Amino acid sequence: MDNVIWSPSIQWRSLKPEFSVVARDKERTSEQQYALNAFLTAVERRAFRMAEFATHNPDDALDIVQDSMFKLVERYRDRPEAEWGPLFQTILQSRITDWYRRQSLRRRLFGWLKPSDDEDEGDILETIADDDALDPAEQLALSRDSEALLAGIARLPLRQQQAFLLRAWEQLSVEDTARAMGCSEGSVKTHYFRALKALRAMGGLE
Amino acid sequence: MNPDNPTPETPVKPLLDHHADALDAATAMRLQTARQAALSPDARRRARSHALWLWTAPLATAASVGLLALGLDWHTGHEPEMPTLEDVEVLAAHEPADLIEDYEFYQWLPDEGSASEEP
Repeated sequence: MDNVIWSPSIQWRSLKPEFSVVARDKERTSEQQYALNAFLTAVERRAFRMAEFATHNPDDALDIVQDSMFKLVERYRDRPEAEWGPLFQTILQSRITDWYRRQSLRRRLFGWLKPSDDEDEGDILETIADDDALDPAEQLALSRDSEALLAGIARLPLRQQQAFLLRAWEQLSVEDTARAMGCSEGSVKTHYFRALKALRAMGGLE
Repeated sequence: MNPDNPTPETPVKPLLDHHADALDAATAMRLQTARQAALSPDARRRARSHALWLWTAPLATAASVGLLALGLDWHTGHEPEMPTLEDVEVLAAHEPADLIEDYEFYQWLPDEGSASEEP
């Protein structure tokens, strides 16, 4: 019969490496959580405004941003921090585009149930524009330049709006913008150029 | 204006940064809550199981729309636009598959830093 005497010290030694691995993983996870929190804190307001420009609906914009945050953390948290920015923009723009497509499809499928008002059924991503006014309180708080710029951006077609915000606000390169928008670099240049032209015509840009 | 690299004279970034910073307290709080939920493993687990249930609703909706359209077509003589397979995908898609499977994107990412270009 084996006389193995259990010793707390022996057991502790055998478990110690596992404890240290767990502690190291925990520390790394904690650092990652901290970094992710800092990253999301830095981008969340801009992301919300971008989604709001596109949807003209704060609740939908919040859903889009929250969904994008979940997606980034769930799938890409282990990617290097330098990649989080482009990844987040790609997710966000994809969500915004999906939202537009769903809205377009709902209009197409259910629109005929309502009385017809001769809606234009063109490509919603290229043609949709907004006539909603900005919140009066915001308008008062911002300068005249800001008002004209924000109102102009809100009226841009979606793809021009995305190209303008990614290039002029997020300062992304043409290549990064093309990745985030899921289109060619040539399309980005065209959308951006048209956005600038439209904003100048509307008095939003000098 | 150079069409390849046009730069607006209006200070767009500071104006838009100001616009983002001027969020009302309620929205800022909701964003903070959303961020904390995204960072919480428990909340993500709940969202995953919720998303699974959400898959069934759009599919059921698309099927119902097809049946409704057929029924009304028969009843009124109006010819509605029938949902295609692509439409069903758009309605049902909670996750953009192109993003998950965008292999080229990950090939591009390592080179992203060197190829950056100022707008």
